[in-house]
Amino acid sequence: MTRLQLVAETEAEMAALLALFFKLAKKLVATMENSLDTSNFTQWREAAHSLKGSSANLGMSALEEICRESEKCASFSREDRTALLMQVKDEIRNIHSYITRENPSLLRPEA
Amino acid sequence: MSRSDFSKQIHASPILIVDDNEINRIFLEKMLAARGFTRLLSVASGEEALEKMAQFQPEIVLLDIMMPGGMDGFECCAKIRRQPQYHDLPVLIQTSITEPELRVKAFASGATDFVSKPVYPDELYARVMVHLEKRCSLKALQLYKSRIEVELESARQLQQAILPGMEEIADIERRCRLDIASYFQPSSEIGGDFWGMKNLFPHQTAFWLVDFSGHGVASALNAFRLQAYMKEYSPLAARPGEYLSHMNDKLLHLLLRGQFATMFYGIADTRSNMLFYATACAPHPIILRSATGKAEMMDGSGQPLGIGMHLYQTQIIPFDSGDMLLLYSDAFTETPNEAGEYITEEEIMALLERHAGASSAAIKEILLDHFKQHAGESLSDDLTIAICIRSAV
Repeated sequence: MTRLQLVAETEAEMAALLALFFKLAKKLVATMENSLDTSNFTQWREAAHSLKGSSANLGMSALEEICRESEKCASFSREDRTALLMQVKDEIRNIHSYITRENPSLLRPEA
Repeated sequence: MSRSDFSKQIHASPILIVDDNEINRIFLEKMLAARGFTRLLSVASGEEALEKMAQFQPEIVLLDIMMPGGMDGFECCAKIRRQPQYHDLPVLIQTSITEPELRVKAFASGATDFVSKPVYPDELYARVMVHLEKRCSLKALQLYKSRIEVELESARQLQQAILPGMEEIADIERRCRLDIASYFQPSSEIGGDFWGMKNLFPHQTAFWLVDFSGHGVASALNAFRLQAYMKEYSPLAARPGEYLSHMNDKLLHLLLRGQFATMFYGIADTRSNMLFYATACAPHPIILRSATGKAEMMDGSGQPLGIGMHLYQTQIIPFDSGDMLLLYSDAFTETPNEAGEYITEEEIMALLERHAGASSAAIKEILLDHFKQHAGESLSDDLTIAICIRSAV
């Protein structure tokens, strides 16, 4: 929340940023998932890099760290990347749960 | 420009943000807007950045490195730099890259500096301000320099205008049977030397050479002032001693402490074949005698103008057909070469004697070549040379 407060003055602005984050995260996770079968390492790495940037900016350090690992391990086996992707998904769920628990007004219905 | 205006100017500087990540763009925009920056444009790719630059005219670019699907930050930065108008544009790479070789690659692409990711407002502000302040200061200096250059060029043209023009010289040469050549080169854009001549009567032509202390704007302004007084006192122009005494009285009340002028003022009389002249601490004028081929050093003594009361005396020496009068400013004899040596009057006289019979234009070139061989091309003081040869009957 501290990072969010750096740029969002109101609850509405925070909610908008979080909504944007979850929307982008959903898209990036889907990209990573698709790349598992195609062995498109570039696609995987770029998606992991983008998710790392967003999470870093919002202060989601655990997710940032998993994404950093994912970025490095782009050429790992399908199993390794599947495991990493699971961690990414779990962490995004954790973030969502945390916000739901601590400050539900920041979550819009569509998020 | 006041500090407040300068700050306003900086905060109105267009800032281009280039990042494929929407959240990153929002963060940068909001952080900069919160610090008062009003002209922000965010684009999502290097291609779009290059497309928008001509119209947006950024004063600084915040550029991401990894931008999937198109050119990366390195390529974008290099393409920006290839455009001459953006050679000095600050491009700040925002990156989480820590590897030294990638940072070196960024600099090799033309990056100015880095902003680490994730971006922190204080660091971002500090880095952006450092580069914008530097850029705005440089621009202000360039504007000032351009304005001064234009003004100095106008002053230089005015100064050239107070020197005798080619038509005036040709007219006096024809009417008074003289052969005249001159050279004037200020050490900076404008200088404190000037020379001149005036046909007082059909048989009398006045010549003068003035050298104000120092060089540059102050000396040039004094040169303009003296020029105005010389016109005002033209009734005395036929009496060199009195003329210089009056010029001295005027300058005495005008010049600041430490300022003075040296001057030669002489009248070539073709009827009496005499040169009437007075000097105020002028470098020794030299006469080359046509009949003997020998050069003579004239008296250049007298108190410099503008430092105290003084009565200047008119001196008289023969000035026959074919004789040559050489006037020069002290730069000619007071500019040391690399060994710390100076051109002496004896050296000049020997040079003139070796080229006795040459035209004034040829003598001028010989003297200039000699000076350039001695001191090189650059001048530390204004240099003026005036040569007048009485045509042989």
